[in-house]
Amino acid sequence: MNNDLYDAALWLVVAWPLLLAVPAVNRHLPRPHYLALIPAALLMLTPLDVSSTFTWLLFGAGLNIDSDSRWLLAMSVAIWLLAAAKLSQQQSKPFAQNTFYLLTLTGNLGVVLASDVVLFFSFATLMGYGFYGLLIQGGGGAARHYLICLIIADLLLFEALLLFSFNHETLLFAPLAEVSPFYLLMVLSGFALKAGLWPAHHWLYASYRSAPPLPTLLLALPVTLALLGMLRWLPLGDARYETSGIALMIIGIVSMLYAARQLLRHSAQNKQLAWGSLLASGLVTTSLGAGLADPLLWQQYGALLYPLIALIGISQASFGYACSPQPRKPQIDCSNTIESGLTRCGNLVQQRVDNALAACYLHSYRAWIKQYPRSENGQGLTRLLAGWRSAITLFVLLATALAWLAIW
Amino acid sequence: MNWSVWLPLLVIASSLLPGLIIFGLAERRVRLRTVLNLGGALLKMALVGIMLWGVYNGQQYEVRLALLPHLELVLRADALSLLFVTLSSVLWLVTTIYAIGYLEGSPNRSRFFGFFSLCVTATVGLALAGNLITFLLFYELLTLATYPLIMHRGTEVSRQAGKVYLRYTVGGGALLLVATVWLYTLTGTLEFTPQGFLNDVDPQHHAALVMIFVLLIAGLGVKAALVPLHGWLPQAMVAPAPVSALLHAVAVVKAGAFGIIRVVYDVFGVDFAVLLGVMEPLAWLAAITIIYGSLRALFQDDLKRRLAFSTVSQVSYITLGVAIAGPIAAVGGMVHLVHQGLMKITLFFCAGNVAETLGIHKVSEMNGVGRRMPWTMAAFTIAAFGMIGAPPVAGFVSKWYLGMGALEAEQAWVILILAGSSLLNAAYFLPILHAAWFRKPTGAWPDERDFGRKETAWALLFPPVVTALLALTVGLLAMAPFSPLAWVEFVVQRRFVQHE
Repeated sequence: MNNDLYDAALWLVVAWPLLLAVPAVNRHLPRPHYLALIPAALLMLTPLDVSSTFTWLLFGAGLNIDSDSRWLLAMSVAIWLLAAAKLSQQQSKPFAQNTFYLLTLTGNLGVVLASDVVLFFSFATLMGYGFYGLLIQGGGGAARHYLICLIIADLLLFEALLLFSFNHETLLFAPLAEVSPFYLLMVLSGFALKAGLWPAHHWLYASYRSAPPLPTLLLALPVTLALLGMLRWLPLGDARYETSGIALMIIGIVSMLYAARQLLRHSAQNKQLAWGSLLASGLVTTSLGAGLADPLLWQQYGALLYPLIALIGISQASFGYACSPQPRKPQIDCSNTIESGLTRCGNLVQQRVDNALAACYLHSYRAWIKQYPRSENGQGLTRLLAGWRSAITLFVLLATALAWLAIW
Repeated sequence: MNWSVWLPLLVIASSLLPGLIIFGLAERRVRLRTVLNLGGALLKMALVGIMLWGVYNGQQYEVRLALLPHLELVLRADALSLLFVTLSSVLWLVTTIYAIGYLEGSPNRSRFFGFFSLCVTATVGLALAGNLITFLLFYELLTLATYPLIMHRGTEVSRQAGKVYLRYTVGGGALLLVATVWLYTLTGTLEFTPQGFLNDVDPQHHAALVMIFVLLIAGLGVKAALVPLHGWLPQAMVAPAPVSALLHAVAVVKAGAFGIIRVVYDVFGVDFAVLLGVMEPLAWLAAITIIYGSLRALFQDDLKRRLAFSTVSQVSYITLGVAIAGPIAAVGGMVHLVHQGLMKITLFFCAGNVAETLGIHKVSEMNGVGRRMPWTMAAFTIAAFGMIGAPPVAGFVSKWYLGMGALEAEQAWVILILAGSSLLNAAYFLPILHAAWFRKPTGAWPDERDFGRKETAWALLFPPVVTALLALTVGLLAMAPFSPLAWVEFVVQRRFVQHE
């Protein structure tokens, strides 16, 4: 009897918001955005690990909650509480916003609780398209960019799913044995797109720049849940995959460096949120890469990533809640410089101005260093270090170098 | 004598007799016509249900009628035929309800429903065919029954479309006849046999058998809309929406695809077909059709033409699954027969709804239609996502099995075709959804009809909502014992040898 109750409670976490997503239902209920969270909140507070499988559903689908997924469930509940509060501040609601909101919520909770790859993929798809419905209300450009990345990512992950199923007897998230390089490529590419890692970060930046307040707050979700996807789908802690691990670490480190550099350039809150998100994703990705390259390291410290991802998600969402739209500051003018040549090259291959990393980095460094004239007493160096932005850059570089040394 | 052995004949009669009676009814006899239509559909479903249960428990249903010396009309209900018969009978019921609502107040309804019933009779007949000659007879009857439906409106455009349809299908039928006669002269039999009946043919006739295979596939490929024999299908979209739904989901294209399944498995046998070297070219032809159909769909502004080219692409998934020549791929191909039927009929119903209610025929006119017709567009959205292959709609299950089958048969290139096709499906379906849900209407609708507070007539709204929910349910409950997937696995397990 108790088992049936726990099973029902587990499935209710996703079934209840899904039911509320029907317009005919949520129109007649008070505060459906808060109501939808009740089963999830209760489950989060229940100190039991519960698992339930429904053999008829899809290819045998299951949900479970354990100590690791409880962190992410808590993160999800916290973020959606903030979102509900933000929603209640809205004067007018765009068409079908409640439906898209609740579908995204359902997808989020399903991703966190899914115990098999197919159900994870299904809920991730639901969340992805539901979130598109929220993002599009800020205008077409960013949402279209997001959608294209979502479609490509889902295709890559579907191929990975096929490989997973073909090479394993079960679809459950169990420790993976041997996986093919092709599987790793599909998983890393797919989730890198979803998480907005460099160089696939444009949709994230564009979304933070132009999204209305509610989707800005919720942008923490696709990123953190993509990182969760990497955590679940990668063969961490078992065999050693040095090449893939190193490649992942490189992506993570470059993401962090790029984000740090962009943080120096932009002061608008929403842009800083974007680069902060990339910085945090880069950190997690670097750790995952380290775990992939060294299973022993993962076995020792891997469990720390769940609370870290949860913390990142809540932080991003909190900053997103507090963020107010700011006018765009003009980009650094890279014209009439040597760097502009590189910039024009970048434009020729359809990259945006701020994507010509080397060009603008060099230009902005030169413009920035001019603010600090040389001083015989070293005051210039002091001023140089006084600015907090330079400190962040140096700190990140230092931390990265230390992490690298520790691994090797 | 056990009456149940006559079940195949009764299933055919359940649509034939009402059809013949309806032909003779006056236009004003609306109630009687409706009773005959719906009564025949419900009776057919009940009879099919009995056969399903019987076949599952090992019973045999077969009727033999002598046509000519050494030639018999054979109707046999086996697991494979019941897959198609069940799909046809369920979708005939919903299409009938839809057609009743769609054609309300239109002229020539008795003629329409008469040929409608004949069309379903022919479909069920070819599904139950126990040999190639019976299949051929009902295949040609299908052509004759659908031709007047395409020309129903009587306009110059529809007459032209009917002529094109007839040219293609009569030509295809001729190729099928030549192949059938040639095969009979070589083997002396045309009986559908599990694993084929050509294994004992003298190897010196193998070249001739390859030619026969090509002719059979060409003949069937017309109705199955294999490139370059697909040209009739987009033109046939001038027909009323119930006819388009019938053509694409229930009858014509499925008849072609089903025929290809029969030829590969019950005439040649998978192993023998592989030995002849005909399966790989068939797989390539299917792959080319999949991509070509999707590319053409991308550039269509007319909604029904976009859906027509989508059908050209999607039906070839069935052919591809068969041609990969592995049991898992066979499951994927055969189950897509059902899944594609459910999803595509939903899309055509919705296209008919927006045309009848708002006068919308083009994608570019669909801005904001989701606000005006939310239930219709919700059904369209579910079916569209199914076509793209998004879980948990039925299309995801088909693509899963096709992909797994490709890996099993070591033909990984098929996965690239599936991925490319899914990308193209997204490219031509998502803009429709975007326009419907996220854009505001640009002005008044082209030709809005007033249904009061309702979105549209109940008879037009009910069928697509039901078929959309079915498409979602068969995907969500794919592993349930009563699902189409379970039945297809039963078919494959029972009938086909594992390809090694």
